Amino acid sequence: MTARARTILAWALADLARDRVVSVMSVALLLLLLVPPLFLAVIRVSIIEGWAASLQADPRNREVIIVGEAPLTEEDLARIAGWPETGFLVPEPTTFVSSTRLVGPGGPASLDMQTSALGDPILGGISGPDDPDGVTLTHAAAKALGVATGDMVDLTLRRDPANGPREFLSVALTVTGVVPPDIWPGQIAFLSPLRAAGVTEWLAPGSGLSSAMPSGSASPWRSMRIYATEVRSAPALAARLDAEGFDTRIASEQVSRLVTLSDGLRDLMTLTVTAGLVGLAVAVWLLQMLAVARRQADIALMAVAGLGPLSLIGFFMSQAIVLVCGALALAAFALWPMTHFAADFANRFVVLQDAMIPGRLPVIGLVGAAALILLLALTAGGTATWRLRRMDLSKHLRAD
Amino acid sequence: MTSPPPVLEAVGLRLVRSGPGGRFALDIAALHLGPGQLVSLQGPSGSGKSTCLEILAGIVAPDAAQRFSIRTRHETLELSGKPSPEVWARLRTGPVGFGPQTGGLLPFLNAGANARAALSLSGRGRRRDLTERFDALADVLGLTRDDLRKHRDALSGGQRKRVSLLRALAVPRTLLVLDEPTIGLDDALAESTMQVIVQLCAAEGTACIAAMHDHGRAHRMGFAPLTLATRTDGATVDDLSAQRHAA
Repeated sequence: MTARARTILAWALADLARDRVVSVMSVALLLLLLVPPLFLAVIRVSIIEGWAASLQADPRNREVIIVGEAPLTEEDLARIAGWPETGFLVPEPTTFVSSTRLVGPGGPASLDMQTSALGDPILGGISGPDDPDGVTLTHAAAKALGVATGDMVDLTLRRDPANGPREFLSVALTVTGVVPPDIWPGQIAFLSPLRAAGVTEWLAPGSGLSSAMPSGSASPWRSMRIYATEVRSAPALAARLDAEGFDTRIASEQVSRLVTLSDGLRDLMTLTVTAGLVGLAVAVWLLQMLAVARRQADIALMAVAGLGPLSLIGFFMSQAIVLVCGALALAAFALWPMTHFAADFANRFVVLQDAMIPGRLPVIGLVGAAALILLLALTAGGTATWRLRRMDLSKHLRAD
Repeated sequence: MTSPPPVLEAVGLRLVRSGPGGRFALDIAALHLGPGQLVSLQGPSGSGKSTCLEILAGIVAPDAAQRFSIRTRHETLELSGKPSPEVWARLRTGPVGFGPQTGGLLPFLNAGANARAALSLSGRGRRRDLTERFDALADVLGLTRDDLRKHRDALSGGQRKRVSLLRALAVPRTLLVLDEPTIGLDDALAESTMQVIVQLCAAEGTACIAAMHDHGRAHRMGFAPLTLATRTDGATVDDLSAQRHAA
């Protein structure tokens, strides 16, 4: 930096320090213009986008629910599994029992039952049953049965034939995994599709089966649990299934609404930011006009001391940069309480069960916005001080 | 023996101003100042002395100039083509020193920083010879280190005037333009201040043109009088050498 530029900067800072009340008020004014759009951005990113991200991360929102039943062959399942929108599917047998009785060292328990398989997204990374002799339990179910991974439980079935005594069947199953309570809070046993189909066939009146495995005479599948690869693919998957004759509904509608809300807030934010930036530019322009208007005797003296018009513009522009940077720095500091407030608000009032992960503020975007604000302020400041080129120094020198 | 070439040549400079008070025209027919030459610009109040000095210091640009140049040690600066105010501003941190009548100081700088403005802006603030020169000048002008640490509000009118003069004298000049350099100073201080100016100009070959009400002091100090010839619509500075010739 040249001696001239150093001196101009030192003078600009000395002037701001001397007029510290005006300087602080100017920074406060600029900060007031910066905070509303920034706060709106934080709300949108932290709460709305964070919430939408949480919902998108929940695999249950990727599920396409099949309403009713229809026969499904192995070929049907293989074809549907091959669609690009399909992330995971597991077949379900006809009139699958909603609950059954398991017995473990801790005692018997009546559990809800679902089919599952390896890669089931709702198990939070815990392995599903990979063969008919395995069962995956939720934490609450394992606790009720008094078992852990690797222990044995007995699946107990009973049926009442039309012309005979009540029959019982006990099937020993190995616990292949326990799903943490934060993933699945209820008491559920996940069986392999074959075992679930076998149980269903054994329980069917007049089946006469001696084991709880499908007979193989006909396809046992009447429905399926199916998930899209991601939330935004769920509507497409549902539409494709509808075209195949399924009656479906999706759980991702609330996510779509949230995304729409987020988009709306983005538009609102764009308006607010634009208004804020225009206001900031006008404020900087007014502050600079005011500075030039009330400092004309000083300007004349600076000219006598050796500052030409461009140097004088540099003097005022340096002050504008310092003031805007001060406001930007305070706005950056204000981000911390803003994001914490937003996250706290979201976790307390918006999401009732799971802790929400606040969205990350886009650092590059913020830096870009700060650079734009600085550029805008410089343009406004430059416009305001440009008239210094034609200032009547003699008049103002004599007014000192 | 030929006389050295002038450091200031101002020929055919004209400034016309129109305002609520009417039209005012200032003509500098011819003004040549040689190295070390001292000139006292005289004329009644309102005759245009300050305006004339402001033209010579580049504060006001003349509307027309046949020849206007300042010769420094290294070059001759041609100024008749209406140079930009930026050029003049740089000249005021170097060869041209200007002391306005008001003696104004920048309120956000202390007296020392005000006085060192030209030194700082020209990047010569750390040169030992200039720093020693500055300190010596501050001493002879009666400005203590404590005075130089004070801001404008804490200085008396006389101290402000001396700080303003120190600002004009802080770097070696080719041309010194002073508007009432002793106004606001008591007799003793005015006398010693003028002696400092005269000695410095003699030692460094600086030409000085000053507007002074105290013609007697100006005469005693060796300043040649140059009278603004007033007209109904303005004033004219005639050729100094011609005036001296006639005298």
